[in-house]
Amino acid sequence: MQNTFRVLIVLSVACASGNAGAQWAVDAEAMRLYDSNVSHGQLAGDVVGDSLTRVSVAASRELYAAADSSVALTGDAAVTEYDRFGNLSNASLRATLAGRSKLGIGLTAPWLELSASAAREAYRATLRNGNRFAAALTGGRRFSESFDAQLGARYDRRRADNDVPDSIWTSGRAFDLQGRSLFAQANLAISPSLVASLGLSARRGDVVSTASETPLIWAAANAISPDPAFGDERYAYRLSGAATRSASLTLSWALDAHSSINGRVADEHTRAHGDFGYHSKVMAVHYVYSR
Amino acid sequence: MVKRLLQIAAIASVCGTAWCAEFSAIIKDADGRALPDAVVVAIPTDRPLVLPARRSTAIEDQVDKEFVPYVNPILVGTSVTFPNSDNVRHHVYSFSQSKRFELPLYAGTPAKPVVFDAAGVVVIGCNIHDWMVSYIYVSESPYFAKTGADGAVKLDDLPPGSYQVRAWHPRLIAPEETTRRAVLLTNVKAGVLEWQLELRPEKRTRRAPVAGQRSRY
Repeated sequence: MQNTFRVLIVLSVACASGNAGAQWAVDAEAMRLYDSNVSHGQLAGDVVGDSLTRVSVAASRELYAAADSSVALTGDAAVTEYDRFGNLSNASLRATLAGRSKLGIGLTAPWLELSASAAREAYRATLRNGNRFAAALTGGRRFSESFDAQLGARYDRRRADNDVPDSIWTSGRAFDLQGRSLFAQANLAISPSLVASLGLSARRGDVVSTASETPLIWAAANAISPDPAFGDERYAYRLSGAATRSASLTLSWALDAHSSINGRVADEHTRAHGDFGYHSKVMAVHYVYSR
Repeated sequence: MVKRLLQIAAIASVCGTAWCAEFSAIIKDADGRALPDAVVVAIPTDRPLVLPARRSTAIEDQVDKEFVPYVNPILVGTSVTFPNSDNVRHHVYSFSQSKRFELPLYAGTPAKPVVFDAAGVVVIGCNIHDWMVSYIYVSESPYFAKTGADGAVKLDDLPPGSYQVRAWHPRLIAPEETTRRAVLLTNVKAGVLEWQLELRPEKRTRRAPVAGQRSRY
């Protein structure tokens, strides 16, 4: 945790003292979201839905720029408040360093981006507190004024602060997670104001589900800890090698040059060893501002 | 497809110390709405074109990550400067046949202007901000103007005589040549043309953000 803070401080100082010609971009977002399975439960009795409100702001600063490449540092902060399961409410701080290169000049020139991020997440139920790291390589291309697409690969890792085992036989680090993903996204401008965006991703790695304690969980999970965020006698269990496939569709309506209102639906299926798995649907409305 | 609807009116005016003709036009889209940013050019057909001896200058600015103006009609041979009035850098380029150039990432005003020495339409873009686009219309004739928000345009100080006039817009479907009309302008009789231009649907890269996709600088 201390190392993460050091990294964040160093990056922030670098951001604040960058070159005089540095450029800034600011993004802000307010989102209202419903998740049909916020607990990632498999059995009907464990599946619980909830709604949340998230507000986030991000400031990006260009540290280096040449004709065909740039390096930027982004700091963002987000606050998330759940309606029903208040202990899931959290705040996060994240720093992202991204290098981007455009392979040519012009609207249709492809680009590559390599990014790495570190985040600190603090939950109302402090058992879930931890640090999150991610690295991604993304390539994209605009094919015309109205269509662009991108593909990428991502590695993510989460390191929880706490190790609270439920027994001496298993690890208590149920919130320590890592995984690798492939993702694709395509954006089509239907009109000057309306953009439809389709996203697909496939991830393999650890997932955490919350359920009542059962022998089946003991057999499949490699880490278990109490999860008071969902009440007493609820346990978070980590499943490794799980495959998650998700698809999302976003319709984005431009309010003006700097803001848009977005409606998003997403569907996510996870399958793990031992016939474990869960399914969730997400519906969200976002207001996005960018300057 | 272009339709000429009316050819009416007569206007005489005095330009400086000589009698000159004046030509006005109203340009609308297929639905009859006034069309801003259309260029009207008049070419004399009864005498050779005489270009001013002195080279013109023009400015294509960059303000709030947009090119200003969106459509910039200039005379062939004009030197255009591309000042960057933003506090972010831009990388201006054009791949158009009549002028290919690149102004790599810069702030402020580039030392050298760009000379547009061939007539035609030059599409300008920014390699950093995909939504930034503008059109520099390089006219072979000194008699040209751009429509305002009301779709109206007026060409002053035309020597009386026969002209071929034509109209152009960034979204014009048909070739510009198909808009040609012949007019006779005298110092006591000028013309007002009304064009109705059929346009492509607007296809510009959207600037507004999409949820989950971070903006660029």
